[in-house]
Amino acid sequence: MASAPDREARLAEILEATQSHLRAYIAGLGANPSDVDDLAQDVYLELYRDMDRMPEGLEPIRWLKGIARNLCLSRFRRESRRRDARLLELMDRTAGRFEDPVALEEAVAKLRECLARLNERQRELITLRYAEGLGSSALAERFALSVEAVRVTLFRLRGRLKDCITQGLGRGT
Amino acid sequence: MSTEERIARFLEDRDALPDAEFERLLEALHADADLARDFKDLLILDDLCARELGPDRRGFRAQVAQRLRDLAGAGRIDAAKVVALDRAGARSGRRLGSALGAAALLAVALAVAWTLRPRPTEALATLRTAPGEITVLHAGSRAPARAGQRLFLGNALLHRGGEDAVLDLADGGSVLELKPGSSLKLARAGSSPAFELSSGALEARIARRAPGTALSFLTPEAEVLVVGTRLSLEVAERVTKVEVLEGRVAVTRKEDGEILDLEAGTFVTVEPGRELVALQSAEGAAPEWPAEPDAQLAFGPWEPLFDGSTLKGWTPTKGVWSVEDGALVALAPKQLDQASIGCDAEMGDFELRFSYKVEGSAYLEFKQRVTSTGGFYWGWKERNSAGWTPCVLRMVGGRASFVSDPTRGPAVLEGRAEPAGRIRFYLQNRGVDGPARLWLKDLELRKALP
Repeated sequence: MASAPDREARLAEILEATQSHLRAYIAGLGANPSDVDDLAQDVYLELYRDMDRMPEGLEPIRWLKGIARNLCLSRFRRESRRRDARLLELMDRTAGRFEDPVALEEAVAKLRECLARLNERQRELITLRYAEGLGSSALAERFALSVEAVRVTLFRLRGRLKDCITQGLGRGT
Repeated sequence: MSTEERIARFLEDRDALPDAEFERLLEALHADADLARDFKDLLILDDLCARELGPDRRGFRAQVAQRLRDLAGAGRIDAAKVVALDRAGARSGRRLGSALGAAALLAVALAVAWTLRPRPTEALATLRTAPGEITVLHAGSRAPARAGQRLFLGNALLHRGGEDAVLDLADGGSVLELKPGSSLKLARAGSSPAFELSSGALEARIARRAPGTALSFLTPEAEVLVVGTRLSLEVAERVTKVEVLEGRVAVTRKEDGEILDLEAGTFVTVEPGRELVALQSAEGAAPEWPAEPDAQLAFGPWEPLFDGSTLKGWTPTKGVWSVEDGALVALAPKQLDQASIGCDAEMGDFELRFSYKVEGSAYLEFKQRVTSTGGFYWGWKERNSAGWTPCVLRMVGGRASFVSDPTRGPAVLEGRAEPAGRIRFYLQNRGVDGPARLWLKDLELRKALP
């Protein structure tokens, strides 16, 4: 078993190197957005408890992904969230464009540029959605739109951001 | 419902998607690998947007450290976690009893928490009052604020309405008053507390701090380093205003790292591309003139202020200016580019008339009696004017009024009012997709008669 100082340093190092990637991985499994941070924290706590089990030479993110997948599945099953569990199984087999760490870091940088390219109203909508957590109903009231129109607009904005990022990465389809 | 609609609904509120529609969505994703890949990208993008824009999704490290601290808290280690440690001990051939395991876990968790510590265990501030619509965000959750609530690193306050919220800082002597319409996050800069004001305004009275423990205020445009002072801070769209009432602060512009020392009785407006200069606060420098113009005031004849063919009498200070078809024309090619021009002559009391129009998305300022210590201005955003807008502005005494559009009210006094100064026009491109232009023509001025 590693000494406490070694474990401290190792955990801090792994967390720093992998947190963005791990959260993206969990989000990509279909976890509810409000649960992503919480699940990622659980993964690091699990790593901390059982760090000695991580095989020597293995990339930590691979180990963390395994923990994350199992944690998500067990939580979904425990909470009888069958839909989430089925979606996870499908998403786990699906390769996304932002899966590797380099692509993810590029995507984050590119996202800022792509957000700046939205017009003022679009940017306001996205900002209120994510910065203030306003739901479709509140946004509909604020922008004098129907709830459905807000959903569709947000969906198209996300699609536009995704295209903007992937084109920037040279990974457009 | 189309697949697109199902995805849109899922992303917004997955629980609101009926089971039958979810099944169809899942079928479509199973059947089309490209669609599944796009869907996965959208799920990840959703998280990236939340992390990039959400005030409560940063400080992840802090949250992990806090969870470890919670684990290590007295009586808060549950059996499962002790067993987990026991298993680790057994694998290494050193099986520990559960009590010893708990103690070891406590020690290690505390040590890890210390290593990862982004915040002290104690609260950074306490909400003395929480009137109105105030929400506390933390670790993805949000709850109404209450008086007496302790606030920790990573907490964010959204103040949507009501009276000022008062925060007592943990140093025992400093107080923040957060104005309605503000968003404030408790953060850390190095080893000292930092307060991120992303919108709105606050006033702060900061008790004198020991050397090396200066407190910071962070805004999107600036960092304000405080040792002990009384100051006010306002954040609007891309603009931060810092005003010092007592003591002094150091203001760093994030855009280029330029630093300005600001003393009591002065303020600075930090804006991309704008000169970083200290101006005298209006407080204590009340204009000597009557607030309202004298109705009996007489003016001389109208005289041209621009010859219609050259820039004679005008000096551009920023951006590209030219003369086209009898008009002064400013060009700001891309987002945040600026153009500014000033009339060479200094004017006291006068009326100015002209016409203007705008192309693109612009922020305009019409400025009067501009000096090195201040001036009067109107500022507003405008996009693609329908045609020429005629204007008449009056600068009399300590008041500048928009005669042709009284709804704009009097001009804002920035800094100290002086008896004479220059006329200036300012344009900033606030669009994202093309140039902004400002045309000015038929500029004429008549001076007030003594």
